[in-house]
Amino acid sequence: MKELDHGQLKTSRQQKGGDLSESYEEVLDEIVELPPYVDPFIETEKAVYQLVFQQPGREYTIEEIASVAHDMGPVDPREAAFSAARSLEALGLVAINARTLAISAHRVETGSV
Amino acid sequence: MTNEDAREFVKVIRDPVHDYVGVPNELLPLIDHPFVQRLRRISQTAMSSSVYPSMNGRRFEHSLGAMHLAYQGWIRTWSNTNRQIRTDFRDAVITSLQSELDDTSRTEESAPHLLSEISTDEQFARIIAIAVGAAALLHDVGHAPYSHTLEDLFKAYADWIIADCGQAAIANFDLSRSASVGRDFHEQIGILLASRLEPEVTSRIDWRVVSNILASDPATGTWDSALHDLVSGEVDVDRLDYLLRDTRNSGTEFGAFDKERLLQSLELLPGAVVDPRLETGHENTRWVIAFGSRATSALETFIINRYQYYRWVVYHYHTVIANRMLKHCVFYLLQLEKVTDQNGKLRANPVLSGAFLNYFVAQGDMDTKALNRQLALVDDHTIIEWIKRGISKFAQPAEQELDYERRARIRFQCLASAVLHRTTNWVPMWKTDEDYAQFCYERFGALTTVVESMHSRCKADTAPLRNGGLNRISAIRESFIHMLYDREDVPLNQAALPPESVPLLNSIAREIVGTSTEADGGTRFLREMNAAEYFTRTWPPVDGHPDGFWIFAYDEIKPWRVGDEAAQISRNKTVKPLSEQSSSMLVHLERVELRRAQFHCYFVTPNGDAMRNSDSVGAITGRFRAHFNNFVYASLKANVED
Repeated sequence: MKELDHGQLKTSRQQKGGDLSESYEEVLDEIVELPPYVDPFIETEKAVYQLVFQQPGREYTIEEIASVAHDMGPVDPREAAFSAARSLEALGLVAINARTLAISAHRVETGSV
Repeated sequence: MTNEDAREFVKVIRDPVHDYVGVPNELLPLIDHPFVQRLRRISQTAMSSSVYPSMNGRRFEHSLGAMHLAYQGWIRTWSNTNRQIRTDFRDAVITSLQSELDDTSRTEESAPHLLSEISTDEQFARIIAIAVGAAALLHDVGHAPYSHTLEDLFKAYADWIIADCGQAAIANFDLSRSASVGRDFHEQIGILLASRLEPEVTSRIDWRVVSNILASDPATGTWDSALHDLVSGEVDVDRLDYLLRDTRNSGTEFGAFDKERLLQSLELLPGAVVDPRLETGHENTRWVIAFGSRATSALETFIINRYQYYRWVVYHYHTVIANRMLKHCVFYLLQLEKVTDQNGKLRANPVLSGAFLNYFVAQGDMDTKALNRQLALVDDHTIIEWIKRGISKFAQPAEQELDYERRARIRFQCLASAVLHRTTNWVPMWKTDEDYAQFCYERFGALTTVVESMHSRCKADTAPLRNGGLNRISAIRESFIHMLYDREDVPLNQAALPPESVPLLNSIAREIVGTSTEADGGTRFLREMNAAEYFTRTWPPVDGHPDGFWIFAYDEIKPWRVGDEAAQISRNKTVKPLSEQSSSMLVHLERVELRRAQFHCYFVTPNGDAMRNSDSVGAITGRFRAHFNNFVYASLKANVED
């Protein structure tokens, strides 16, 4: 493993006698629970999929999917929803009509994951 | 230049990249128009000069270069195309334009197009050459100050910027915005501005052809899409010029490809698919402007050089933070000006009018010419002067300052100092790909544990609700991480060499702060900011930097495109994408990209002096490393839970 760069904190194992610099212990396998993180983009993604999943194959307009977008501050809900749809497309869940920009969920087999 | 060329052009401009740029008579009034002249004051590469001091190019000279290459490119294309194809293409263009004119759904009075008047191939080629040159000249007129860096903010705050323009103008703009969701703002505005300057330019330019080229979708096979791809496609005059010009300005060696070879090989070719717009029921032609197979090596060199340029210059860790800091600076200034609330959302009835940033929607009773000159006043200087005013205006806390206002003020001052004075009040958590790889390697075990934990959650959630939608997303998102990971043949929970552990963190970062494309109206910026704010809120502060904060950045390079969107190669009159014909060398770029540091984290502090103390940097870095896994866990957990 590469040595730590000069200026970085040292773990107590790396400190030699008399070294009083601030140390830290890397906790690589132990996770400390933080307050819940809310990402409006992910919430939008979930909401868009919830909507279009109701009728797989039906094409939903940008305005329709924008109506379920979560608040992303200054971002236009249409942009936020479309960006979420692109992400869902990358995951293989929906199709986007390149000409009309309409979104439709792929039909899925019951029981498949 | 030859005598023939001299007759063709009324003006010749010296240029360090192309030596001489010839200007056809028809395009001279366009160059002189204030919308194009404004580009002299719009930087090409925004804050890149923080790293490469000579990288001070402007959109103006780039647009001239693109015009030159587009004109020359079309002339070569036409001369390399056989008579039958020329006739078919000419018919396709004229039929299409005529069908637009005949379209009864059009309510405005349509002007006839110049092409209806011509009779020879040469006249046709000349009109198209002028139109392609005009489209290239105008392809960047829609850029906001500081080009791509502030584009998202202009798009997001357009309602405020044009609020004084009157209801009709606003309604019109909103209509055009609906039609351009997911597109770059500068393209949308470019189309608007081109239509505004048209009445002022009386020379013989076929504006129907120009506007069709600017508005068409790339790689769709229509005649205007083929011309659009020449101006702005996978390998186009825009990219040819900026790669030559910007690399030259940066002082790097990445612009070393054979542009002449590329231009000389261009051919116009038909494919066989239906043009959906004509709706004749017959099979129509899919038009492609392709490179001859003799230019394959030049194309490969171009693509490799472009990747190198993005990797080493555009996404240099310092370039990335310099541009992000300008964007954050304006974001907080808007809060201080009480235009936006603490979430960055526009307030109702802000005191400050956004009209001083309006370069795209006209207002007032002046004539078109005067209004256009008013719009053309907004440039990089407008932003810098606004920031300068903000420094003194918000130097002291306001009475009864709220928490978020205090935060905005401190951060704005700190960022403004970095933007204007290049103050080193920030520190990256890694600089090189090697540093990043080492960081990923050290966290490999813990991160795979996090991924496994998410996997278990997904499985548990999905079991009772197999077809429920939400849980399916969770499962597939989690498998996306696995998919990227498995592609690298590195099984989870096993030892990996430093470079092999990089794709995992890249894919996690994409899940936390990334989006599929940057042209998303600011979605990625908001995600980055949201995640960084959460990190700032939850990490243990470091002595001496109580008001320090984090900036995250995620940038992915698509090294080359495949299929129809790729550069097309013609061999024996058959067109195939470069991705099907090229060597594995280009495929290797994708593997290089997977191992590049796509994710960057920076600590920014108002206490820049303390940052010079290496112990302080060490404390920040150490705390970051200790906190990172917790952050990843919390962020991914938000993804998979309802």
